[in-house]
Amino acid sequence: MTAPLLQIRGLAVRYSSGPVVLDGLDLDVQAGECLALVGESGCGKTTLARAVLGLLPRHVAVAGTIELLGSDISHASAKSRRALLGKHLGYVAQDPYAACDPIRTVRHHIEEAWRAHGTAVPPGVIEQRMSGLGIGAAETRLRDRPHQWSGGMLQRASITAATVHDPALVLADEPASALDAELADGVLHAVRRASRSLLLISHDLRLVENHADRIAVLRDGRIVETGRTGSITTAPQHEHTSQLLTAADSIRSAARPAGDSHRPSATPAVVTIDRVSVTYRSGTSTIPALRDASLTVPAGEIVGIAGPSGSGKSTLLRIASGIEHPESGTVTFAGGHASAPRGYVMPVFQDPVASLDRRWPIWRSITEPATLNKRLSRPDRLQLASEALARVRLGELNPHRLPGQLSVGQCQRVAIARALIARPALIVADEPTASLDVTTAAEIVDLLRLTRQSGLAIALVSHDEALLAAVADRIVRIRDGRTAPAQRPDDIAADGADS
Amino acid sequence: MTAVVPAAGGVPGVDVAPPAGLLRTLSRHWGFRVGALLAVMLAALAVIGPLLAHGPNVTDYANQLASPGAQHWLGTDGAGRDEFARTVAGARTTLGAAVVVFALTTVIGITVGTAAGFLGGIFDAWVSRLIDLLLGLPSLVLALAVVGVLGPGFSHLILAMTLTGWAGLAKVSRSYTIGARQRPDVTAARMAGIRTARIFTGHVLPGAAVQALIAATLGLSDTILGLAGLSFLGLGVQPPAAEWGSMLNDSQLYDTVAPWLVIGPGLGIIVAVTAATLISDALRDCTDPSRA
Repeated sequence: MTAPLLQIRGLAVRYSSGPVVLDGLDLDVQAGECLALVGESGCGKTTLARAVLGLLPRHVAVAGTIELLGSDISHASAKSRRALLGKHLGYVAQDPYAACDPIRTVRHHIEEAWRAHGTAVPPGVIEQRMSGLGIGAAETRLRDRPHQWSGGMLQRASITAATVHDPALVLADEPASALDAELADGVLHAVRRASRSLLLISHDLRLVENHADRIAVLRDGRIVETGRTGSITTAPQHEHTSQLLTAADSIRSAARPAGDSHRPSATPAVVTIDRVSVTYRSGTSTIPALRDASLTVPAGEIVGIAGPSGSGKSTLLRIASGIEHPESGTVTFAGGHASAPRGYVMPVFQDPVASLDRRWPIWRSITEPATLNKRLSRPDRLQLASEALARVRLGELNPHRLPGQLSVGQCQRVAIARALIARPALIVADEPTASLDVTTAAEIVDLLRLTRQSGLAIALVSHDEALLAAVADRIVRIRDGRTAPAQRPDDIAADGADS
Repeated sequence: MTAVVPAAGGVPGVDVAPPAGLLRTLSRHWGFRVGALLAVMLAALAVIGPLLAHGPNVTDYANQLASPGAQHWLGTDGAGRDEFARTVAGARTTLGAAVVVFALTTVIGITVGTAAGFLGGIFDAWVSRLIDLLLGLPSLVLALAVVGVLGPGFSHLILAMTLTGWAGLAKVSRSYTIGARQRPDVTAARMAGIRTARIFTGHVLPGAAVQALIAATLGLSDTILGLAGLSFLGLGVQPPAAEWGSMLNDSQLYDTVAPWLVIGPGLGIIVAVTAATLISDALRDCTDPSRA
């Protein structure tokens, strides 16, 4: 058996201020294989990638060895590392937009792969590579700026930039997590095809199972299980692997609790949106965000709103919240009101940490809606906050903490607690799980499903079809600002089976 | 106060104490300790100094340009006046003026800036143009123009420094406020039906005020130097009153025969500016919630 391409032995990384991030990690990547490294957020995945790339800050203590092509690079100088990067080790970053300079063309970024090594760009190679990854008419489109490209296309461009020199190993850190679900699979396929060997980092076991030869499961800085993809996903040995699988499945599968189905027509609507249109002005041109879009949210139901990025999902949600008004069409809240009563609709946002005032202890944020009509004393508010926290299963949390001292998942629960305290009829949730890892996302989804049982309606925007299929009572599809009639998830599944 | 709180902690192993108040955090900051010590020393000098040294304006022509000694700690100036007594008296004028200008510019800057950012519309448009106009002109030249029109004098000096000083702070508070207006926590409060005035005072004003205060303390050193500069040009305090800038101006007449005349006012300005800068840095460090 030949020596592995990348051999990591006893890698330990410790930040001077904090805990051990990696704790004696061993990992091999063989030539020609795709190894997926899977774990929850905070388990040390990205630290591993940074250690291999030499991007860890100076004050970090690194022990152990990282051998690439037989030589230890764990303490290599920046200069010797530069010769390695691109030629022998390629890197695809998580967010292609963040990885690109917005004022440079896409071509400029790809050409950088040659410029970094001081060589000329061979004519036609970029176009040929790009069309190999399914991007046609590359000559003209490469003159665009990064923001003019879709996320999936731009990620293909960064894959091209990372693989032009056919490096022995490509390192891809969550290359698909910033993308819509429908694009994620395609991008993983592209990066696999373009690389000779691949170390693929992801939080989603189910997403990588179609692409990886082997899977290593990382937890708290250690590899807890390694094996062939098939055996990991069908017969996981370690408890944590099973948890990751369950979490990934619970979001995808439409396994609903029994007796959980609602009869839609029986309940009155909390909000009815009828053929509304909204346009935004951008410079001298106008962009239609919604065209004759309609939406009905019945009491006690979860209505999913699905569609690709930029299709008008969030605008529709703002109309339903009453914080934005349409140019044409009507919005009717329960009781025939044209505007929402105070606290009738409450939001849950995509970025949980930003949705709480970072200067306020969480008890203040949670109980703010309750102070609308009456003054509450501080002990009363603390009491109220503790009860609300218990309702979102955070009963143990000290309400004096600041949002910055909480995990992202805890912040999202706090935001839900704040929404519930206003006693709303409708909660509008815009991608509430998009910044969470699978396990936490599953818990948040569970929580939303639970709150629905008290008669509360939820309008849930997501690009994740599997998530919507799992929790929504009906799904409204939106594309280019136009809505399709609502469907029940079961019907959609049936349609899919027919076609 | 914390009696009703259930057992602290939530995530095992990563328990964090509730954040301490701003004053307590500041009192643990070394920069703040040094800066506050310097500021207290200067203030004490200004308050009790005149009791130690008598007669900043008493001339003694028999004793002109005496070198420092037991009689005159910092020597005497061209009119035989005790330089230490004048430095102490100058501390009152210079620091007093700086504090008044600081208070006025901070209040005006925060009020106008947050109002423009929060109200938007035509008010914001006009205020922004005015701010840009004021920031576009060199502030010392503008202050010169104001004093030139109104005539020299201490209150005119303060007016001129205030007129030119508030614009930068207003700009800082305005941009913070505009950012805050779009924040999800503000949207959530709006959707809950919280009144605009409460959203403003609860979510927007504290952050904007801290930002402006940091900028203002940093600007305090500019104010002290500006005051000294205008007095140096003869446009501020009128003789024979003592002021650090005008004292420096006087001293340069004798810089070859009595170089020690710069020590008193020069050291005073250096210490005051250092104190202001240290306190400003400490404020910036301690008000960042992500460092809590």
